[in-house]
Amino acid sequence: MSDINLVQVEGLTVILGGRVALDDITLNIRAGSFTGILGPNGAGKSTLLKVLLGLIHPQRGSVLVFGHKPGDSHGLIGYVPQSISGLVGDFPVSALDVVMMGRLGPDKIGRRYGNADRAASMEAMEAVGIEGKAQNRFGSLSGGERQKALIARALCAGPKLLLLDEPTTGVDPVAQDDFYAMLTRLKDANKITIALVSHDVGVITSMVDDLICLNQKVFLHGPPEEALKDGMIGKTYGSRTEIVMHGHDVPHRHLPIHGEGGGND
Amino acid sequence: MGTMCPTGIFPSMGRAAAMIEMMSHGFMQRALAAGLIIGALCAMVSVFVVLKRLSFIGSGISHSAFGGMALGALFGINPTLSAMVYCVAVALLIGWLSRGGGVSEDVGIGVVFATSMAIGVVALGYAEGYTVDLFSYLFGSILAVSRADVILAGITLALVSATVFLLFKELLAYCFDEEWARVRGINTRLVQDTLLVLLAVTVVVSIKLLGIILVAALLVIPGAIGRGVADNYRGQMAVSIMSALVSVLAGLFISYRFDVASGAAVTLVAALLFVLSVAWARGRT
Repeated sequence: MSDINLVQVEGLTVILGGRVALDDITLNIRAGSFTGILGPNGAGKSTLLKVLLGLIHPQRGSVLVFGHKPGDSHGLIGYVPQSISGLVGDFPVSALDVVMMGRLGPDKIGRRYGNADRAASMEAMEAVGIEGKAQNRFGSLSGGERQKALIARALCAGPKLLLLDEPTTGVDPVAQDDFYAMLTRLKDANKITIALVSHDVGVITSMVDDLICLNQKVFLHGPPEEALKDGMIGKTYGSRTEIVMHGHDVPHRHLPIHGEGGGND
Repeated sequence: MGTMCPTGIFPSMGRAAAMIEMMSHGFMQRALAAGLIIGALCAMVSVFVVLKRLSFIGSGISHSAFGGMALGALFGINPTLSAMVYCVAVALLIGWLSRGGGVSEDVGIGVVFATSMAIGVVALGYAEGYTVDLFSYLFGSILAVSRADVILAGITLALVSATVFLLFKELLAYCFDEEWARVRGINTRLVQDTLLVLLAVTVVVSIKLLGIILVAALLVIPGAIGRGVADNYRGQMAVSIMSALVSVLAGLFISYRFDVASGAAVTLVAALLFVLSVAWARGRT
């Protein structure tokens, strides 16, 4: 991990549909780091990723990704969305077809996918362990396999920064553990920087180098231990919460204190 | 209305002789040539209409063609040319609305298509000396196809095929996951507008044979048959084209033989194939 910042955000404000989604936030993502972004529903986590991808244009603030404005570095960024299951149930594409979409780019318009694209896609599928499913219809894959295929899609263009938006939504707990282990392996093997949006307090605090607690504003930006020390997770979620711990230092989830209502994440 | 069938011919002749007799008519040769071209054209576009769920947009654009044709009649412009310009403009307007142009997409389409029909009725009312067989325009006629229409359909097929071939992977990615396509630096606005323009020109060249009301059927049904039957998009495209060609050939034959509007005959055959494909797909699973 280096001290070079791949992502530099300063004074970022985003207003969506008349509502402030992000309010004057400043943060950095270091090269080679695994950064977790934690916060309740509607905190602006996905919005932040979409700003970094150039999909949403901010009202105020400065955002640099690889030193360029968002959207100008698409060749260097991989993205794994929460899920696209609503659209793909019976979409007539194989897992390999989906992964090969990672090889799209403005420079390839008017050309068919070539052998190099196929080879890179198969290599990415091998890296996530679903090469045996290459010819299966994408919609027939399990939730975990679909997410792996989407990671392979993000990986096959050789990104330097991988952004994941709650990638284990709808994936069973066993497959989730497998998924996170694979993510750590990929980070080390490919020397990529990862930023992961998640609700899973336990996973995020035990795996990441840096933690960003976000709820329209940045409540914490630093090592995950700080979040546990100062009750920062509770402040981020906007209520008094208690952390359910596994053993001495691995938080499992946060719960609203009895009598205060609300849910858990 | 459709065409007149020479009475009493088919019952007393063999099938081959009946086909030869049918093909001896110049209008039937033109209708079949245009039909095969239009079938392939609609089938190709319908794959994307089904994948991206654009059937309402297809219907909106085809109904809007009525306004474009009538304005051509009013101002003394070739109705096909005026419909082409009008439908492309409508397609781009719908594209803009769908990207957040101030009203929701379905409301926008509903307003545009009803307004276009109203413009058509008013314009035809003021088009002095212009007599038009409204029934043929709405439901298609095998008598209406001229040599120029066949040539225009051929040119359109070449242009649409070339565009689909060159942009196939971008169109597929746009239909599957538009956000991802944008992340990869694809100008999805341009891809969407291109698809809508392909839809518009396909509608306009198909109107004489299939009719303003019924052309929308061939923009949806072949792609839907392909999607139900095939496991991948390549198979979907192949099945879509085959089912459209069968629908057009059988539909034109029925139109000639039973003197019904060609658009209605083609649509009924396509609908029958669709029902059979759904039954087959259910049986398979």
